Amino acid sequence: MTGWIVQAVRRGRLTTRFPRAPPGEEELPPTARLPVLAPLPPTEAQRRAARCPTEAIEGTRVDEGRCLRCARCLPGEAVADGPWDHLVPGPGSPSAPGGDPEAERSTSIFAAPFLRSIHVFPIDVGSCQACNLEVLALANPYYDASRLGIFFTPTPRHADLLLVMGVPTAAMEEPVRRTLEAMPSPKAIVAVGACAVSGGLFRSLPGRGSVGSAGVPVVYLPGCPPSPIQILAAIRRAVGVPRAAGERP
Amino acid sequence: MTGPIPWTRCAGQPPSSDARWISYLTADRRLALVSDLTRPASFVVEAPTDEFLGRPTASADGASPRDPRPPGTLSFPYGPVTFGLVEAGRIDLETPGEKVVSAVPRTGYKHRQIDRSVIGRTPRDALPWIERRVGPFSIAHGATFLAAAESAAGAPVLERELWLRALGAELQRIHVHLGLIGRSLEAAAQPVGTAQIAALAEEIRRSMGRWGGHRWLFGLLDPGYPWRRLDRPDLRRLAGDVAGIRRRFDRLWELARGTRIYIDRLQATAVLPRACALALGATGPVARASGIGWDDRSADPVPPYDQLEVPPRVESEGDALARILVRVAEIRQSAELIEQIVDRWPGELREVDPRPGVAPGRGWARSESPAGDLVYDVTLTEGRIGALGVRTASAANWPAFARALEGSVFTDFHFAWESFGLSFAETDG
Ligand code: SF4
Ligand code: SF4
Repeated sequence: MTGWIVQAVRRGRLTTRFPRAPPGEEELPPTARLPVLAPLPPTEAQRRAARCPTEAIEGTRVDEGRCLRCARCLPGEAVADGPWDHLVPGPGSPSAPGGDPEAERSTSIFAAPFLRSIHVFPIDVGSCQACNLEVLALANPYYDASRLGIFFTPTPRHADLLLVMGVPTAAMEEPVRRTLEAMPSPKAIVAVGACAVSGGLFRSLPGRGSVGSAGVPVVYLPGCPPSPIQILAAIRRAVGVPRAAGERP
Repeated sequence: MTGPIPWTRCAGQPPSSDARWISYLTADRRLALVSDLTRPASFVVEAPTDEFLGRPTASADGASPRDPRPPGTLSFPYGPVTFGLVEAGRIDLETPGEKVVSAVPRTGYKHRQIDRSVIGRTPRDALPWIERRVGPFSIAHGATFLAAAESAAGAPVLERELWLRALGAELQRIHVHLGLIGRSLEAAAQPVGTAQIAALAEEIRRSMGRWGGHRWLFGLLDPGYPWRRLDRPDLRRLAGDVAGIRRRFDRLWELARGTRIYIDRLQATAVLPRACALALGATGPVARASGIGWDDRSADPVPPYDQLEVPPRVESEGDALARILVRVAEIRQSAELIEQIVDRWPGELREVDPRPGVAPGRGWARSESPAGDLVYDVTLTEGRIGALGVRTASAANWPAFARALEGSVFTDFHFAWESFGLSFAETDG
C-alpha cells in the first residue's frame, strides 16, 4: 500500500484545470473541434452531403446531433478550430451555423440547481463501448469528477442524473424504463454521444427508441464519442452550475 | 447423475494437436456464430443452447444432465443494467449460496444490425459502421474487414497501409489490456492502483488523439482521413509516448505483483484447463493463458508481422492470474512492436498482394484482435458488399467463460469477467 501511495505522489497532480481554466489541447483531439458548422456555400454543402455516412447535412445546415465528427466531408487539410462545448436542442433539429444559443441557455434542466453534489448512473442501451469508457474516464485522475461533486453511483436508486450511452435498442427499452422508475425525483438525462442523441449511425435501426420519449428532461451532447471533458461540461450544464472559463456564454 | 456436472469436463473430444485446433476453430460449429443476415429485426435476447456451451445435452428421457440442482439454488439474472459489466448484457447465474453452478450468457441486447447496414456499400463507405461495432477494437475490425475486402477484390494494397493498421492495432491492444488490468485491481479494492492504471489508459487515449486526431482512432484507416500523421517525427513522438507509458506501467505492475490481496483473488480463480480451452474453441489471451501457443500474428502472419518477431505469450495455469499475466506480457510486447514498426516504417511506396480469395469476388482475412482471432469473410458484388460474415473473438470465448465460471465462488465473478475481457458489443454487432 505504501508503495502505491509513493508511486501516486511521484506522478504528482495530473488533474485538468478545467473548469477554472479552458480545456487544453491534449484534452480535445482535433475531431472534437471539427468546424462542421461553418456556413457552407450550397455547392460545397452538396458535395459534402454526398460523403456523409449519417446524412447529417441537409441543405446548407448540419444536424449536429447526427454528426459523428468523422471528417469524411472535409478536405484533406481540415483545421480543427470549431467550438468544443456545443449541446444540441434535440434529435433531428438542424442547428444553425454557430449553434443555437437559445437552446444552450435553456439547459439547466433541474428546477433548482444542484449546489453541492450530484449522483450519476451510466446506462448502456446499445453502444460500441467507446462512450461507456469515456464516461467512466471521468473517474480517472486526469478528470477526477468527484472534486466537482459529481459521483458515480452503482444503483439508479441513488441517482439524480442518468447518462445514456448508445442507440436505444428495442431490447433495452424495458430495462431503461425500469431504471428511470427506480430513480428518485427530480431526475434528468444526459444523452451522451450521437447514438443516444439521434441514433447517429444507427438511425434506421428497426424498433429504435428515443431518449426523449420518457418524459424526463434531457440534455443532448453530440460527438462520437464526446471527449470526457465535454461530458464533464455537459453534466455541469445539466445541473445548472455557472458557466466555466472557456465555455461559451 | 446428481449435482452439477464437474466443471473440468468438457463435451467433445479435444483435438490432438494445436494445428488441428485451428482447423477446428474455423470449421466447427462455432462458425455458426458468423453473423446471420437473416436475423430478425426485432432481435430476441436468446439463451445459448447447451450444445453451444459445450455441455452434455439432455438425455433421451428429457432430463437435463445438470439436474437436480442442490436444494436452495437461486437463479438470478446479472444485467442487463449493471454498473459492474460496463455494458448492456446479461449473465444468468445459478447458485445455492456460494458456488456458481451455472452461468449462462445472454447476448443480443446491443444488436445494432451492423452487418446488415453495410450491405450495398463500398468497403470504404462501410468503414464507419465496422469501426463502431466495438470502439476499443476499432482498428482490428476495420483492418480485418478491409483486408478481407481487398482479398475479395484481389486488389494489391500499399504496404504502408498494412503497417499503419498494425501500428493502430498494437496501440489499441495496449489500451484494452490496460483497461482490464485496471478494472481487475478495482475489483480487488485497490483504489490507488486502479486510479494509476486508469491514468495510463487515459494517456494512451490522449496519445492516439494527438497522433491520429481521434481518441479511438475512428477514421484513421480511411486514406482520405485528414489526421494521418505518417511522417517520421510524428511517429517518433508517438513511439516516445508509448515507451513512457510502458515504463510507468512496469513500475505499477511491480507494485501490483507484490500486492498479496490482489494476486490471491486472481490465483486459482475461474480456471479453464487446456483441454477445455481446446474443446470449447477458446481464442486469444484466454487460450494462451491455458497453454495454447497460438497467436495469429506469428501463426498466420500478414505483413508487417511476417517481418517482426511476435512469439506468443503463453501461461499454463488457465486461471484469472494467468490471463492477466498474458495481458501484462502483451502490453510489453506491443510496446516493443510499436518501436520496431516505427523504426522500420516503409519509406518507399510498395504494393503487396492480398490474401488469395476463396471464390471469385469472395475473400477473407483474419487478425489477432485484443480479444483473439477475428475473421471477416466478405463477398463483393460490383465493388459493393454483397455478403458479410464475421467471427469475433468475444463470441468464440463465451462457452469457455461460462465453463470457467461454473464451480467458482460467487465473489470471483468480477475477476473472471475482467480477465476474460469479453465484449457484448462485439458479440452482438
Ligand atoms: S458525420 Fe462526418 S461526414 Fe457527416 S457532417 Fe459530420 S463530419 Fe461530416
Ligand atoms: S456515439 Fe459513437 S462512440 Fe458513442 S456509442 Fe455511438 S458509435 Fe460508439
